[in-house]
This record gives sequence, structure tokens and C-alpha cells, in this order.
Amino acid sequence: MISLSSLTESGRILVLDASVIINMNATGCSEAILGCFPGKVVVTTNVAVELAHGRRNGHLDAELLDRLVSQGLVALHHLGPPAEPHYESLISGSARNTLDDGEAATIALAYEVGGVAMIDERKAHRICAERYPSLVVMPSIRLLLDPSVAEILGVARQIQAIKNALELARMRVPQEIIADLQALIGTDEMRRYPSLPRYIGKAGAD
Amino acid sequence: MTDANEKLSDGEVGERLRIAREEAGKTQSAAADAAAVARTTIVAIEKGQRRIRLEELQKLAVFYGTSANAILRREAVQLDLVPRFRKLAQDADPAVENASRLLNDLVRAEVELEDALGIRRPRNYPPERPILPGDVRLQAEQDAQELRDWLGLGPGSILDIVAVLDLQLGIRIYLRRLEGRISGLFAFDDRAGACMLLNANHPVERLTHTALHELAHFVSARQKPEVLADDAPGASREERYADTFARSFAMPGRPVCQRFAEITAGQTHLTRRHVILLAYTFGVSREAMVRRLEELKLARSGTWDWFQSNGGINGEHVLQVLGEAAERSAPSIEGRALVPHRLGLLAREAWKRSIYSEGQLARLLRLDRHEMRQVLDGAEAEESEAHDFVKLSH
Repeated sequence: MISLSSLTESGRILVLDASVIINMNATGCSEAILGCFPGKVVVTTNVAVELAHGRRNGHLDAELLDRLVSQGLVALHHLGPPAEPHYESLISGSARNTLDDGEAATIALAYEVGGVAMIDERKAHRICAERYPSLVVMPSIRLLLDPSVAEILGVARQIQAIKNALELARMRVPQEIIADLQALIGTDEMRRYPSLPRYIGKAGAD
Repeated sequence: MTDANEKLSDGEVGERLRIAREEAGKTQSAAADAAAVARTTIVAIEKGQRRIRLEELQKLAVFYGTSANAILRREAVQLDLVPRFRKLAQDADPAVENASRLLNDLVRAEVELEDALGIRRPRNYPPERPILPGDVRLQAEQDAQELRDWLGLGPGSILDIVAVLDLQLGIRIYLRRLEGRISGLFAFDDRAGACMLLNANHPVERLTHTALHELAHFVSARQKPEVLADDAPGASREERYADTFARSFAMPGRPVCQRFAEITAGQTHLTRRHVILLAYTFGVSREAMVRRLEELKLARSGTWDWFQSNGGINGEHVLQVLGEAAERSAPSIEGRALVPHRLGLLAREAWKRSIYSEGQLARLLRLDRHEMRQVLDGAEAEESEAHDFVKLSH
């Protein structure tokens, strides 16, 4: 699979969903990670509203987003008329074919600007594959596993960031990326995190 | 792919917006300000006479504390329990408002997830018994006995009233931690059926009494919502009926008389020990037991007050008589979970089947995303462990 850093180098905008901001916050080094990607990083105002809900329980994801915006690492984007038809089609209809506002806005904007939708929700990946096959959709773990992150943070810090996201934010990792994760952090370590699918690799692999 | 048949009509959207606004306790004027439109526009939208614009919908959804998807999702269930409870009181009561909102949210989420997963919850409701003119206590006693017989409960105590109401009658019953003075709520909705919310902070004996009190309202006037709170007026015929029904159901006359006779045989005075053993046998509080003995003329009127003014019957006395058995299992496990366990299981299944996303479920269950992830933890590992050997047959 093509790396995220190469996509951003070619000018693709990264559109982050709430799930990604939550995971980034848990890593403890979100600024450094996002700084690894040369392109523009955007979050919709719908996602900002959603993150603000977590404030009542003391979660600081909305504060992180404010900080990233003030540092110029992330730009807030209010969904405009060009993306609205996609957004509306993603929130209106049966449960199976719709998403919540933040998830839908992330996809609609990414599709509109030809960017990369960064979203963990597997249902969102399924809907995108069915309705927006040309859209590049990636989960948070792709950001964290990117070679540029290892290069700039160093492997030890990269591993710690991933462990933090798995432990503190219960980051989800799609089955198809589990082998990559296992190669980096090891099978025994992976068993500690209930958000992960069970990895059945080669016998003795670790 | 979303097709035209899946989308709601303007009338359906308008009706949902009206319910969402009333649930949030907002006026049409306030909604108009929030959406930057005239009040007449809100009126027209709610009547389905004008299609809402996406921008307006997003503003209203945020203002009502919901999401645009929760309004436009076909399966979304709209309940009006909150405004119905609001109408019960003259003045706004934040504790009742919070509890009724919680009940509304739990029922709405459960019904929507059941529908999405194709689950039909069986109902086995007894006939309604409206309160008639005449002695209300006598009616309550008779109706309680009739329902016990209808349920086939026999003369024994009810050790788990929640299971009886849930499994035998099909009442939706939730144990959640509520503000101390709120004991429970009851409401009936044509689609969702009978629903109860009980305060999981209360000891099991009090919780049982609350459940039976609400059961009395279900039996006598099920269309009317009801709140049982410490400071609620209790002198009405409906409340006297409900209290007597609850006592009679938990402590049926004949079995109490029989047990009382056995336990006091050959003795000259009623003692704390008798009260403690009887209360334990019927799973009720000491006060409820003594009041029932007074009602059945097995003890003089004023006996409870006499005990109270002569040292009371406290936890230490109970420990002396019952030892460790005094510790009945509290409903705290269910009450402390982020969401009721059944609802959590429905949410996990809906997520596993890719019917609902994490964001949709978080909104539906009124959780933040961290809490929702906690509810979903382990779901993917379960999927990879799903083996035919443990496949369910239904």
C-alpha cells in the first residue's frame, strides 16, 4: 500500500475524523506525528462539535484540537455547499447506509477535495468502498505506522505512541493491518489490548 | 446506496424535529434564533410544509443536543416521554427531568437496536384494572393477589422482582443510579410498551418496593406516566392504591399470617428478631414488614413507631440475627455499568454487523466516544472466536 507521507507529499489533504483526533491525543505526541506530514491537515466543524461532547467526562480531545488549530497544524473546515450533497446522502436513510454527522462530514469533505479520509470506523470504510471507490480511506494506525513517523520520532517513540493509543484510546486496528502491527510491537504485547482483533499469525511468529 | 425510499418525507422530518425540540425543552422562538430563521419557519418545518435546509438542520441538531443523522436515520425512534413527565409537575424539577430523559434515551436506544437487529420483545401484559369507587385498599389487595395468581407465583417471596417484571411480563426495566430522592419512574408507550427506571443506588428491599409500586400504576392506569420520589404527595387514591398493592404483592396476606403464626408460636411478645426474620423471608424492609403486620391486624397500630422510639431495628440487630446472610446481592453491578448489560450487548451486535458506527452508537446511547469504545471493547476478538460449536440455535 502506498504510504500516507507520499500521498501528502503529492498534495493530498488529510481530513481527520474524531476517532483519529482521540487516538492522536492518546499518543502524547500528536504535534510531532502530524508534523511528519507535509500536506494540509483538516478537521470538519462537525467533528469539533462531537469532540466537545467528551468534555463533560474530562476528556481533553477538544482541547487538543484547539491547540493543533492554534499551532497551525490543523485547519478547521466548515462544510460548504459543494460537499453538502455527499454529506446529506451519508446522514439520511437507513442505519446501515448512514453515518453520524462527524464521520459523514469527514468523508464528504475528503471526497470533495480529493483528499484522504482518515477514519477508523470500519462501517465507514465499507460505505466508502461501495459509494466512493476512488476515495482514499485510511485508519489512524496508518498515520502511526508511516515510515516518516519512524524516521522523525525514532522507532522506540513510535512504538510507545502506538501503545498509548491502544491503551488510552482503545484504538481499533483493521484486520488487514494487524500483521504490520504485530511485526512492530510483537504478539505478546498485542494480547494486552482488548480493542484489537485476535491475531492468528504464523506459528511461532513474534 | 441510499435510495429515495429510505429517506423521510418532509412531514416525518418535521414531526421528528418537533419531538426533539420538546424533549430538549426548547421553544419554537429559541429554535428559530438558533437556526437563524423566523419562528413561522420553524412552525412550517415542524408541520412538514417547508423542507428544512441542511445548514438549518445542523444548527437545530446541535441546539437540541442530537445529531442530524439521529433526525434523518430511518430507524431512529422518537419518544415523547420527557414532555409527558414534564406535564406531571407544576414546577420544573431537574431530578425528574434528568431521570425521565435517561428513561427516554434508554428505551429509544433499545427499541431502535431491537428493530435494526430484527428482535421482537415478547409482551405478556395482564389486563388493566382501573381503580373503581369504593375501598381502594381492598381493590389493591385483590388486584395484587390476582396478578400473583396470574403469574403463578404461589405464596412465596419474590427474590428478584426485576426478573419477574422483565422476563414474565416483558416490561422494559432499567436499573440506573439516580438522584437519591428519586425512587423510580414508570411510563407506557404504544410502540415501546411498559418501561420502568429504578434507582440502583437504593437497597434491594426499597428497589423491590419501588418496582411493585410502579407495577401498581401499570396495572391500574398504564397510560399515565408516574414518578415515585421521596417528596411526592402520597395521599391521592392512586398513590394509596399503589402503596397497598406493592405491600400486598410482596407480602400476600395468607402467607404472612401463616409465617407469622409459625414464627411466634408459643411466644408472648413481638420482638425485633421476629420482624427481622419475617422481613428477610419476604425480601422487604423491616418497616414495610411491621406496617404490613399492622395492616393485617397481626400487630397493634403504631407498632413500628414504638420500635422506633425504643431503639429502632438497625443493621447491627440484623447482623446478630442473620449473620452474613443479611447481605443480599445489591443491584449495583447492573447499575454501575456504562449502559444496561442487555443494551450493551445489542449495541455490540449492531456494531459487529456493521449496521451502526461507533459515532452513531455513541450518540444513540448518549456516551462519549471513549465510553463507547469501552462498551465495544473485545467485540472484534469475539468475532474471530465465533465458532460453530458455540453458535446459538435461534
